[in-house]
Amino acid sequence: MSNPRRINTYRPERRAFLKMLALMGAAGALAGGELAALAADVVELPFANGARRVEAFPQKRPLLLLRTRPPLLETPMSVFNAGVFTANDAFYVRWHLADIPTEIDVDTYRVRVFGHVASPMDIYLSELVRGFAPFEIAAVNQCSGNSRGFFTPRVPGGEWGNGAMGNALWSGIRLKDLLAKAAPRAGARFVRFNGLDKGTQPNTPDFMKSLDIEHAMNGEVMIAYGMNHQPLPMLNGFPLRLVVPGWFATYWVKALTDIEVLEHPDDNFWMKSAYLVPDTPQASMKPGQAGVKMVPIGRMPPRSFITSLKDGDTVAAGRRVAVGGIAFGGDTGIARVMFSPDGGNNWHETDLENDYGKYSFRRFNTSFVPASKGDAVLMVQAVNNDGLAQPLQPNWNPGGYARNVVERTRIRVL
Amino acid sequence: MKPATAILLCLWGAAIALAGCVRHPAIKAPGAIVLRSQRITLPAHGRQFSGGPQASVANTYCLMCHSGGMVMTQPPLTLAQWQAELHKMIAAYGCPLPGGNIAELAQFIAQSNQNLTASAR
Ligand code: HEC
Repeated sequence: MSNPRRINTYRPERRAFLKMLALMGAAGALAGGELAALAADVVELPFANGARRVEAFPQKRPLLLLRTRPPLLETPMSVFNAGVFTANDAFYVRWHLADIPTEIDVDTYRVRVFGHVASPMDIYLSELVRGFAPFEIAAVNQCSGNSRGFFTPRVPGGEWGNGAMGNALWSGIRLKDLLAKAAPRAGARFVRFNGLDKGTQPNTPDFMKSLDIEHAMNGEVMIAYGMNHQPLPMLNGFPLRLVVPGWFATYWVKALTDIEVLEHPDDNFWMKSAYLVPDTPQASMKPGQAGVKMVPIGRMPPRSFITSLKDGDTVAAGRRVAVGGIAFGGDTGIARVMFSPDGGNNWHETDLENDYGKYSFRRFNTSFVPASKGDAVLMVQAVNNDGLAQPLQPNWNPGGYARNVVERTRIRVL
Repeated sequence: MKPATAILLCLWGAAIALAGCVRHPAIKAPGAIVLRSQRITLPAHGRQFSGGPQASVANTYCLMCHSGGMVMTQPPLTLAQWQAELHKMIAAYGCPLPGGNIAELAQFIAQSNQNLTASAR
């Protein structure tokens, strides 16, 4: 952060602190240290207009602030080096509409199951939590627009770096079990989900998402009350959120209250007009290309990130360097993660750590000995169990969705 | 013990007793996960537009549904892209900005966004 005054204008409480220091006559002596501390409160993501304040929201440690209301908070990449499960207080936050739940009474909270079913239900949280077989799954939750800030040319939207993702062990019940109790009638085709979030203006379409009924009933789609053996943070959808393993997070409806079985495709705004991607390999098209068929986003493709080293780090020539990171296969497991120490000329396979299930992050480790001094570009490429490999060229689409290009980490060898 | 200290201790004891009586609803879920009623308070502030008469138009119409960060973290966009954004806010989300204001407001936002991007580099 080159200009600390900008930070002061963002943070009135900090400005007051500086003023106090000045009054005490200490500013001259302390300014250097305090300014360094201020600088640490802003992270520069490596794209235009990428300055992000680092701020703590309720139940969250300081995260990268993209938008205050409704909150968009990004997980710093360093968190992903701490383990394959992302701590709840570090898990990114993403809401669409400004009227989000800030108070939940667990005694009165209910979920409605209705629509094209034989037995509509209104079920209390305690009944839902205790009335069905418990189910657990480890799964990556990734925003459809994760990494949008890296799109070239840039596109409007939430300008995330790579931290709009996280991995958790989700505890809850299978959606299938709840739906079976409501008994969908013949002709049921889709299931639509709604949560407590709403717009502040009368004409803003309510945020709802839907899945094919076969998908909803596949025994993996679940309603989670637990995240890493804890209740969900309020900002991640307490007390209940839908978990759709292998699919982008737009479907993982938070503070879930309504489950509606439909006979017809869902034509609400958030299914019909938002979150659409080109129906092409890699969800990619050319900027300005006309006549591209657009479809609702769905499955995630594989991704991988080096987390033990970051851009700008230095290593010593001739000494073995350990390299580790995380990978996920998307809608299936990781087959292998390849590593290149030299910008893609040579590749070797990395070692995979513990497997927590096909939808989880998986840790990889390898090492290399940098031979010559100078700049080096490290690359990692995940290949999933369907044989789908991360592409070397980035995709592009106007929504800024589903980026999964091979990542490059630029280091210096001294 | 001084009388004042004794009174304080008594009050403290009473407070603990009272707290014990207040009902803390909790749902015990499988896996030793306990769901308790919760309330959070979100930070109210957000970034405001500044600089010129259009700033107040932006502060009126562009902070209703999201804070200014949504607008101010956008990449450098062309004027046409900003106009398209304003049309989208009106048509898709119900932003009450009068259509006659689009041209001037888009101009202002494009300009202030360019300044932001430049100052950040
Ligand atoms: C009636 C509600 C409403 C108003 C008023 C409104 N917006 Fe939005 N805006 C939204 C919603 C909803 C989104 C999507 C938010 C999300 O996905 O988190 C959005 C997103 C955006 C985005 C991100 C890009 C995109 O298209 O999603 C920009 C930029 C934006 N708004 C600019 C503006 C500007 C400038 C104004 C003032 C003219 C404005 N908005 C007024 C509802 C509104």
